[in-house]
Amino acid sequence: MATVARQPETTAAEARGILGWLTTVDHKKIGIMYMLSAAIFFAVGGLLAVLVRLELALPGGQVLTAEGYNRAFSLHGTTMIFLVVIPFLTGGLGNYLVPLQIGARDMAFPRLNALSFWMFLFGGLTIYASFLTPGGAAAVGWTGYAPLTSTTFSPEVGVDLWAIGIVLIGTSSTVGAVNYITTILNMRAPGMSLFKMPLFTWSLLVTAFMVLLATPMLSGALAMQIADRNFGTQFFVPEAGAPVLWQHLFWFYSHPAVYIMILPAMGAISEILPVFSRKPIFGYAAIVWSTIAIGALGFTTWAHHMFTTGLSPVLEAFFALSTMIIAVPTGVKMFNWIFTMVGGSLKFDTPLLFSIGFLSMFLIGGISGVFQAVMPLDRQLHDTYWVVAHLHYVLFGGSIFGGVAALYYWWPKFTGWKLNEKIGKIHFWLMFVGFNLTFFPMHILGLLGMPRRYFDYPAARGWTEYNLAATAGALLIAVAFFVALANIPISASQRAKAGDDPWEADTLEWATSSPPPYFNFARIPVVKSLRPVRDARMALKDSARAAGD
Amino acid sequence: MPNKNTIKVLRLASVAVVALAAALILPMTVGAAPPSPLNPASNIARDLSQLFWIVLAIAGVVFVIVEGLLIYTIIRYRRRYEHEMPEQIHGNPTLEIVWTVIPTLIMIALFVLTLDVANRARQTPDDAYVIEVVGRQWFWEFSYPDTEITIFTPADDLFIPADTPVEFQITGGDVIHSFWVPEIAGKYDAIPGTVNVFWVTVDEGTYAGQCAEFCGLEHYNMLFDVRAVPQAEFDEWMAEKVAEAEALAANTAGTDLTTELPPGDAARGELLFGEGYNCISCHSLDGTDGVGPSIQGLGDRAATRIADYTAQEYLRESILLPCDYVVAGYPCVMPQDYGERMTYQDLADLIAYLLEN
Repeated sequence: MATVARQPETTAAEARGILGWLTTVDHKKIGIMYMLSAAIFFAVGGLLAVLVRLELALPGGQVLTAEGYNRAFSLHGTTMIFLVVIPFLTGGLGNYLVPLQIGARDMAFPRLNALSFWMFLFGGLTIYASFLTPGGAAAVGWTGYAPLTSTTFSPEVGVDLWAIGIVLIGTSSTVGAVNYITTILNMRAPGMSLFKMPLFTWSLLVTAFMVLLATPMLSGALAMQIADRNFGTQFFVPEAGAPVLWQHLFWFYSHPAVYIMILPAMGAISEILPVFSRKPIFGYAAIVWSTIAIGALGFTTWAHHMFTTGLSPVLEAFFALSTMIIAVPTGVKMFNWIFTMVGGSLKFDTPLLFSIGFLSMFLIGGISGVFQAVMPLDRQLHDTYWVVAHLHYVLFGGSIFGGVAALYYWWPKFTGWKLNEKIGKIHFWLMFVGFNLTFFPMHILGLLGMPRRYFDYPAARGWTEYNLAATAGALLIAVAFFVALANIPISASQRAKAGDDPWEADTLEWATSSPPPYFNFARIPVVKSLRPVRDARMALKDSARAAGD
Repeated sequence: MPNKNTIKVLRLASVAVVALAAALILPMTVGAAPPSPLNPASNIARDLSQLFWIVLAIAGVVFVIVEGLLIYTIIRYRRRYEHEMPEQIHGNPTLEIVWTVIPTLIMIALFVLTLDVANRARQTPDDAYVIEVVGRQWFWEFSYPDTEITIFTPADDLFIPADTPVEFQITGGDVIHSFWVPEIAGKYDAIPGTVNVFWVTVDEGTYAGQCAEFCGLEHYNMLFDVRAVPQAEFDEWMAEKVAEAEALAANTAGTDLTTELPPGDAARGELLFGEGYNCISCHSLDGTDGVGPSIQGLGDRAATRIADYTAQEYLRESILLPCDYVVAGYPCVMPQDYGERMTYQDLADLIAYLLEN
């Protein structure tokens, strides 16, 4: 690997201050703006979740009306999926890290990149603007099933704003995907063949292909819905069209979206586990091929969300089988991650703790998913709190734990200083306990027959204790969030200088300064192995030892 | 430090295992009667419950092995000294084949089991007793084609003959709902324009049912009871219903806006507005905005809505032909069949009650 010299000044003048951020086309600044926006939306989406949990703590009305409750859970889902997990992992981490990991100076299309961010942000604001309209925000679930979304049953303009907002966000993702694919395929440093590429970048490449193929389907379906509502078309109207068609189109995007949300988190922990184990990743090629397999199979499972709609027996069998099969590459990854740690030298810093949290929680989410693939059994589990538990073990236990692990790991890269380890560990344990207290009882609620999206339930149903436990857990997660938030100013005031390579890492983003200069690398590095930064560090140690002898 | 953490992990894991065990036992023992799929009361639900326990057994073994390996690893391989440098192992093809092939075989076995149970549930016996189900915002309509009787929740329970194959034919009347009585079968969506069918033989007893697909404002409020009773008791109930229906048919208001009504009883009207026809689920008493307009102050407003209509005439049309005149800003989603369900007396009582508001 070539040595990296600091570039004292950049050739392109970047505007400073607020204007610099508003007009930037730098992938790092755009990445940070994505992460910051996602964090703010996370706080709002989390607040909505806390309201939902407070309402359900006991039978009877607590804090919301039925209408307010329906709005809260609808917007909670929409926010967490479209405005938090996807933009944080793909738009935020992906933007910041992919060019650095492949030794590039920026994304292939920097202006398109800025357009992606602003479309995402205004898409989110469009959805939230519906609170200002007379009918209020949409209360149709994040799934917006027809014909509940027709003007007959949901006349409020909030549903239109919801649909338009998601089209904007979807378009932002689609052009972003083109940008990632172009960048990764064309701008890798000399020597970095596809199979010498860091696993996080691999996960972004597969994710980008999924976004590119799946998202236009959602945008198209939403356009049809907008047309049904405003221009008199009848795509999803029972009398003329087919309400179930919406579900096919919606899930054709939204099931792959699950993998769009989990693959980058998997990529992040595939970077973290080796570093904190002081070992290479176990079975690099197997993880790459599993990622590709998940990406491809992810497109064949969508109708397992529709086992209660009355699919034909052949379709039912097909989607049950495809859903079971996708568990195999997922399982392969799980074993590869654990065996990366086996025989290693584990250092339990916060990024590793959250990664282990990911492994143990995602395991539960993966296993509970297999129950739902067994389609006769899914008739009992579908649309109950079992599913709510399952999806949160995947998206919270998986994507969010993975995302937080990534945040602690790459924070020194973003800022030049580390987040406080002690507070980080408190954050982890609060979140881990709070998470399990919230979502584990939901498995039981599902098995006790509690449907999801219920504003209220009679005490005689016997669901109260578990709901109370889940609400207590949700409050604990809220505490964990504030602990994490407090960590930022506290660590900032301590300014524990992290240096350029605080974790003894492997990949190219650690070959430049922290934070990196505008152009990332003064000289584009030449890559000879999977772990170029480790190679350089070892070579340096060897020469130091030689000099000492 | 790592030592302490690993102990914490271990402690938490044991708590999780105890919680899991408790979770599986509690539903069977707790005093309240949750409508649990694991408390089956029909041939279909018994199949599904058994299937659940089989899948749980497989899942439990996988969970214990993998989570156990993970916990063992993080205890055993913590960093012991600062410059510890482990052997750099890049993989092991044999191991990787093992953990690809074994899960594949498990999944194939599970798939075969799945197909078997699914096929068994599909073969409806020829002599099944048919009941038609329509999900509506926010009540259920149950029809018995044999006798042309139709009943509605929440006023009526769903009566079915016990220990006899019953076939449910399910559809949606407005948006998508999902018909779910956990102790007797899984969910079948009630989709407008489509009929979903299943059959089941139910043990004698009372079972809680509910809507399982989000269908708008009062999704949570579509609860009902299924009463599976011996054939003789069922026949008796049906005979009563038939007699009631005949009496009603001779005296329903239909869409007749002119025949003079008997004197109304506002107190009885109040009951009809609540439990009787469940008007209250869409029309609030206190001015709160619902699916339809609130009835607060309706007595004063009624005469002003349509020119040349008295208050009585306006209310009568609004109940029997609700879509002829719709208050601005509201959709017309009110059922249009109240005329077939209401006697002249019911109509008169309701109007009397509404005028008092």
